[in-house]
Amino acid sequence: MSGSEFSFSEEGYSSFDEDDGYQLSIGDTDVAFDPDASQVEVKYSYPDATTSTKVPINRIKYQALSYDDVDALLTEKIKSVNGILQVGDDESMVLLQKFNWKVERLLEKFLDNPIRTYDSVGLNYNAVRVQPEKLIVVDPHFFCPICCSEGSEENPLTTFHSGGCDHRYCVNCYATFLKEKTTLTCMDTECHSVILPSELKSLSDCILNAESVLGDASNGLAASKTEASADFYGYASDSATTRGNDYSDDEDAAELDSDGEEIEEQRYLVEYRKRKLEKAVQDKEKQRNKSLYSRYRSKIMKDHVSQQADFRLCPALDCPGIVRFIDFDSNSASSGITGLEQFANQHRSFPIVECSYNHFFCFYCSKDNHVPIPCPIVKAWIKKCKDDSETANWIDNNTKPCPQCDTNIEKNGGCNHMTCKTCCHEFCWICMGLWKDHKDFYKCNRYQEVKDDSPQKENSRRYLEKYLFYYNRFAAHQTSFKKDREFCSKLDFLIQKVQKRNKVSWIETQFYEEAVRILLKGRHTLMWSYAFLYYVEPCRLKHLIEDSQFELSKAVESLSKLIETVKPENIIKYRQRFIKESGLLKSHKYALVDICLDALASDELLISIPT
Amino acid sequence: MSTKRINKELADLGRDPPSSCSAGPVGDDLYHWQASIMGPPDSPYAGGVFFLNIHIPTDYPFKPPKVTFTTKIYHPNINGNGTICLDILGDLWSPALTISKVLLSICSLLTDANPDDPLVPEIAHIYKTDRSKYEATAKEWTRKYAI
Repeated sequence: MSGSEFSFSEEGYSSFDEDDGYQLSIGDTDVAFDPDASQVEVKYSYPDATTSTKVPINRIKYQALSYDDVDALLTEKIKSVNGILQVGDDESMVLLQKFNWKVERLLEKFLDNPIRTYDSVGLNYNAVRVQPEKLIVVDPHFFCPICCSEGSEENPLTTFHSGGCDHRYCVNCYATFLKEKTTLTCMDTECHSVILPSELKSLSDCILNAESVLGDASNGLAASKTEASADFYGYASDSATTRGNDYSDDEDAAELDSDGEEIEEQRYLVEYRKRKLEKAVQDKEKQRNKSLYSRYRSKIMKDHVSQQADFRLCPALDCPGIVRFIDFDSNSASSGITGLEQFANQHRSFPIVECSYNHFFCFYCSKDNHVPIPCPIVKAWIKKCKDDSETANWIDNNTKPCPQCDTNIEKNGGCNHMTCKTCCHEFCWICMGLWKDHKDFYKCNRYQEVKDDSPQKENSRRYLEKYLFYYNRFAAHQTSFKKDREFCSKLDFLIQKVQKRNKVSWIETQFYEEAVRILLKGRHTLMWSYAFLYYVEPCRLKHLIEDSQFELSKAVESLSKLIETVKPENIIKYRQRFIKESGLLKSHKYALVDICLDALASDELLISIPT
Repeated sequence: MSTKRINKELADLGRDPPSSCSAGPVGDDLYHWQASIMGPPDSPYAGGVFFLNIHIPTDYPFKPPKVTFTTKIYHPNINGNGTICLDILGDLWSPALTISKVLLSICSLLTDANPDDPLVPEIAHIYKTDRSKYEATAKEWTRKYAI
């Protein structure tokens, strides 16, 4: 582990692999932090340590971190570097950022020639920085050359300049200029003076204060706007307070006839949409209110995390979750695994981790949870799908192979008498038989059992057929999975409806939510199992997997149908069936995963991944 | 907010016009300008008048204006569509720059081409290997399209 060259232990940091005895070498992570430093639970990757038949599975140890945890780590890292350089936290951060967060490289360069290192990032080594608060100047006679606003005695302009120069601009222009940037410099074309993080904070606070003053004045306007949007959705603004279980105002609604029910349903939908809209508005507000400094900080943090081999940003859309690799478990250690790539290439390794927002993903390839398939197969499959699926689909739909030479032929006219351009073979497009047989009697209309024993049928077409078989199933489940997930996003609305209709508590409807989640996971496993089987050569184990896969697909379709067909008001009635079916699905899913894992562990299984 | 700034630039251009170029809005649209540049005397473009289109984005001056030649010109950093390869119109744009400064930069680009970062590699190659041929072609194009 690198960082140990420097006496970090004195500062209270130690390489995190020291106490475990075995080495970790994923990329060049520099400063290692003691994992106990942040009080986050260390978890093991999915699935469990052994299968049902006690085949050991390699796992990794990891922490699911939040934004704040990583922010604290970053602060510590900066502090530890400053502990050595003694140049100030701000300068340390700017230096670290320019050196791509590689502490070792920075220390090497800095100890060699501090002045040149400072120059290379645009800092002046001998300069005395002004206190950040003093950079904000209120000036009644200022003219901003950027926005061309002019200050006056009644309405003075607030200006800002970097601590390293005196190019002043108004705070609003400076803020707009710096908003999207991660490298902060003066706005002037010739001046490359760096703006330090604390200086940015000072600017950001100044803007925030000004906005809060403005905000108080415009609050009244905002309130009236909300009211208007509520009216737009057919609701009086007071109904906005209706939340959760608070449906006391329409207690009698359950006694309505079918017409009334429909209206009620519409009402719920409107209510639901309105709440969604409100949430979207709130989120936007939150985003807007994020100050200049916190935006910068989160960009810096993402930059930092993406440069570190032992951190991963959760790949789920807009998820702020971050996972940190800690170590390999004892199984992997005893099989001599030292690197993440080596780990991922093992057939019994699945670095599937869960971020703090409950998204499962693969730490190695950042794809979603692909158990029971090892990373190399996932990689090969995704590449194949990207390369082949579109072309293959088109060829499959639009062409037929010449019966003699197997050239793919696209039909470009109405006539069914085909002559192959390559081998001049004449045949009928409908029955693919010889055209000369058609002269005496026309046999195309008679149905004949397909006899596929043509010995010269080309291999490539067979491969294509095989691939399409698995791909179509994979794609079908992928589509269903997406549809189910859409359904899942409406779940909270549905559950409230169930609660209301049946007058039951939230906890009593949990079986329904659970069933939907189990269905999603089951479908996902099923989807990946098709990709897996494509690469497995026919053998006894393949049949076993296929049997198990069949059971799972039956269970998935059955539960899916149940969820789709049972109306919300009847859900409680079917409670037992939901619980039974989802339990069944769960056990079939585990059975399939176990069988796949056992198969992967056995020597009998032949996997052919083209290189 | 950008209108204030654009009006200011327009006023400055009227009060203190740069020697070899002129610029102003097309019709009432403050965000669409037309400009002209006189070919610098010490260049093969001497004697020609080159017209340019300037589109100013609404978030100007925080985003650079989009400047293109409408007159055909033979130059290693300007292509057949009139697109100009100039650092300050891209990554090195600064809000402290103005349309006038951009036009002056384009003028100096006409005098000193930058063949090491070419937009049209063929012209850049000729520029580097056979300077007189480049100058002859540039003069020819100027005579044909810009006079």
